[in-house]
Amino acid sequence: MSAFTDTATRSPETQLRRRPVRPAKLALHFALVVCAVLMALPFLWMMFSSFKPLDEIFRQPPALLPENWTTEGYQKAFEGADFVRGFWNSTYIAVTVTALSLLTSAMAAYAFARIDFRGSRTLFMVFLATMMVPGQLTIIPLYIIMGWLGWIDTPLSLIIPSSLFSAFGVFLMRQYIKGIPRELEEAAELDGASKFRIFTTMILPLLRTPLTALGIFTFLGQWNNFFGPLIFLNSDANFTLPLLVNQFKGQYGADWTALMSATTLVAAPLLIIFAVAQRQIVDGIALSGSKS
Amino acid sequence: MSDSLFSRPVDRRAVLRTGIFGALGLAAAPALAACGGGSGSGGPSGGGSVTWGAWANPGEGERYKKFAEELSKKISAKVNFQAVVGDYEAKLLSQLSGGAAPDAFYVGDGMMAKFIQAKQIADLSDYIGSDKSPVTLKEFPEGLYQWCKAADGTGLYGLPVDCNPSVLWFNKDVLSSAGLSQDPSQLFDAGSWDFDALTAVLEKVRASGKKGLILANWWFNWVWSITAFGGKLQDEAGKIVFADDPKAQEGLGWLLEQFKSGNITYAGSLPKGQSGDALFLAGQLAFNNVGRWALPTLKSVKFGYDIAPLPSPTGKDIMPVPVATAAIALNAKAKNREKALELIGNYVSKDGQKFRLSGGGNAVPSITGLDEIATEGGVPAHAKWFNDAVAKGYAIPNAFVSNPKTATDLPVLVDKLFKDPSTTAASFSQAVTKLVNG
Amino acid sequence: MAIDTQVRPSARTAPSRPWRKVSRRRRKDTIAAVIFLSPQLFGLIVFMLGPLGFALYLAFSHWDGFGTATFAGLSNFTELFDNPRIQRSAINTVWFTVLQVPGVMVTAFLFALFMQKAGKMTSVYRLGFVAPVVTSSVAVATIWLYLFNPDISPVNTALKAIGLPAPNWLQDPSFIIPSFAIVGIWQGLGYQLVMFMAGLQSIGASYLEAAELDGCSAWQKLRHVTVPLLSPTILFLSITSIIGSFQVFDYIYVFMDTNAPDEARTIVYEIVQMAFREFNFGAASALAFLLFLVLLGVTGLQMAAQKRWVHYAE
Repeated sequence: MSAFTDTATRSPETQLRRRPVRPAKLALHFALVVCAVLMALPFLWMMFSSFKPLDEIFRQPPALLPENWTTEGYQKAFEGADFVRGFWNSTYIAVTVTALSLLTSAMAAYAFARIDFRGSRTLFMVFLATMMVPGQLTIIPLYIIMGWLGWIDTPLSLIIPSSLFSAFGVFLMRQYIKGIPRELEEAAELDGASKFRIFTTMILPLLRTPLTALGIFTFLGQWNNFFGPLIFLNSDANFTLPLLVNQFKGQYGADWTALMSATTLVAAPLLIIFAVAQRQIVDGIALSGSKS
Repeated sequence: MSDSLFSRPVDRRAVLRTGIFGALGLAAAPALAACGGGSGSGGPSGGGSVTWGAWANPGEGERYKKFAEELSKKISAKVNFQAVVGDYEAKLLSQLSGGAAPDAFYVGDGMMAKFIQAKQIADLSDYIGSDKSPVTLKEFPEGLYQWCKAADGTGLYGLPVDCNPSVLWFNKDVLSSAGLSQDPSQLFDAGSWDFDALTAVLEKVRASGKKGLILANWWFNWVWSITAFGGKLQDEAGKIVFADDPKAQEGLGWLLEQFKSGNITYAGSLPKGQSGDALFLAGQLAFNNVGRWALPTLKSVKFGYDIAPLPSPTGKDIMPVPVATAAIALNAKAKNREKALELIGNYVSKDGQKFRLSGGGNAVPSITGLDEIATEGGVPAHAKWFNDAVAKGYAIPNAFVSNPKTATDLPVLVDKLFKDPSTTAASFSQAVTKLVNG
Repeated sequence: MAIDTQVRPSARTAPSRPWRKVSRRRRKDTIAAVIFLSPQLFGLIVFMLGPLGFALYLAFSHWDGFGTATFAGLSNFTELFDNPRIQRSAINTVWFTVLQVPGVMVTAFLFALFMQKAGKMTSVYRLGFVAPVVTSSVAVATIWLYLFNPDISPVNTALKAIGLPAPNWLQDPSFIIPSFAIVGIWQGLGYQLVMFMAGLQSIGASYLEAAELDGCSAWQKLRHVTVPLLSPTILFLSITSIIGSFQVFDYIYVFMDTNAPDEARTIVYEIVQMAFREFNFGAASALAFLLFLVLLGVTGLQMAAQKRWVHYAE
């Protein structure tokens, strides 16, 4: 696709300057504000509920803002679970997987998109087809393999499989690489540049935007991954954040104040990361837009 | 344009490289940390190490770890606790098929029959009958461990770790604002807490615009309507017989009538705790039919609350009612069988339960002679009824969980029947009996 | 994002070059391909195809999770076809997909179009739309159980106020799957919005300006410029989201726990129930295998149909 071929995207700013504010525009903004707030309402409710005492969480009809602000939930959450440790565990697993899987996905995608080799199409179809396998089914054989490798209750059991296999990542990156015009590469190849050189100096830099997007999705998936850590990790010193949060759910009844605080603690960094990273995507596109 | 395109790669590549190496370094560091951070250091280790696995909330987890420390000294082996914080069945099943399950582990009622049949857990009767055991079977209320026996009624493959009887928690404020001068605990003390009394209370609450009681399709929430009416649930062979018992039919009929009139709301197949809990905590519900596990959360509400036993035909008796319980079982392939047995014995013994359950407030001991645990702190005011309910109560009927398929199909069937307005006590009993008696 | 099934002849292997050179080059290329592919290939074999082979073997075996598996022939499959609950689950799964996939794609596309015009505020609005993606399932369940509770739901109050029937969302059999689809649309919107906006931003303004000069109306621009140029994105999203919604499981688990009524069950929910609660790994694997075949067929159809409507920028 044409993600990188275009150089003349109209940047939002210029658009705004060009036209005076019209009633239609105001209506648009009004509608978008309402929709965005409605969409975010459950998140906001979760966030504000984390500062409510128990009886306010369940007040009927529910109020968004706490009446009596309290950090009791956070105190309970921090007393009940080692969030510092969990934060660290989750961060290094998510960061490592994201970094490694972006690299391996981009590499494989490059091979699929740009190198002619026997069985390329079939192999790619195999990659695609694995996306259609419900993951719950492979968990037991995977557990046995992890046992053989001696990786049970270590972060490796989570890092290595996700770093070395991502059909979605390969698929997405291949689509982007196929959209990049070949002329530059072909010129470089005629000059004697190797595939590795072309990949590292030409392809990877051009993949900045899609890699950022894929990176966000990968990080998000890892950060929220519950089933894998649940099955493969045993010692609570190795637990990731979703496991710590789930402790507050209990077998019969939940500890609601701690639960709201814990879920907010886990979700907030994601939203912050997205807020920062999306600016980067926008910047990248605006840059290319200003060039023409 | 091409300048800006090609000036970037260098930076990007450098960034990428540092990123990857940084990430690799990051991956190595915690792996090292995990070695020391786990549960391997210190402690007496003459008898090797032994591990048990269980679900636990943070409070329980904390106490279990202390218990492990204490027990390490007592049985001179390093005792480890492994907390499972989610889908317990999937985790345990993966561990068992990978040969990496703990030496002892909790078994819920849906799994017991299968584990016995597949020889994944070992018979504990010899151990508990021996003088090595710090606990005897006689100390447990008989109704609590029948489900831990094999299909033919032999052996004993698990011991109940603690339990939770089915009682009625009530919100005093909701009841008094509905115009009730006496609350259910007072009615019980006056000897007039029968089903007519409950019906009357529910009607008044409904008239006041609030909800009376919400029930789910969990056996814990409806089987009491059979036994609290004095009906017979199962025979000695474990077959379900309530279809032929007039009192049981009367009880079920009463329950279905309450659903129809709206005195009791059927919650449908919502997750445990989502149906009644939220409304009860919100002060919108008069009764919540749960166990003692509700207590820690209730301690921080502003309304007055207490418990009452489920009503009885006479109005003054405590009838047999469901008791939710889980058992600890011995892994048939335990690496340290001897210490695992000691762990189990000490886990469910009087001392063990006292240690684990004191100060926690979310369960009742599954052993007699520890009444002070449930009444600890004097909340709720009539906590003594927890003990009475356990003494007379029963764990899940064997027929309900005799095979895993029945165990998963039963709640679905009950859900269907409760939702169907044409269901009668007879048709309900017939359908359930057909499913569980096979 | 062209998903081409055709291997296009590239300039490098054009016949004008000497054959020997081409074949040497080809060998070199194959070596390079192997090296580039090796990490993912290793992962594919060890962590995916290996476990998958085991699951496939189980589909033709009786296995309860313990002990040895015994050969079952096709009996797992016949068991599935005889089970009316599985048929119901299949219908539920398709119904969910039919409601959710177009629902989320159309909404995401429309919002992406509107957001294009929102200027500087775009990134703020977008955060709101992405918030559901990061909201924990506990909070999702709590809020939606409240919104779906007919006694207290403000949605139902509003519906009644304007004279519409207020459904009992999670208890009325005909509303359970639509309820899940609503939550699915709400939660899937953010991701697709980001993808569509990335696609829209990469459409050259020159195309649209050219269209404008030709005197195209807004609708004509959308119909003849925007949609065709976005078609690779639409294809990518429709393939991945159909796969995703055919595998829907967590909503049922979050809202109904392990005893969902027949009207709420989907195929993957059945697979998990059969494997981990009923210890019937053979039938669970067989069902997963059937689901896989269906998805393969659906994706294959999409790929075959793409030639008719997907426009390649390349």
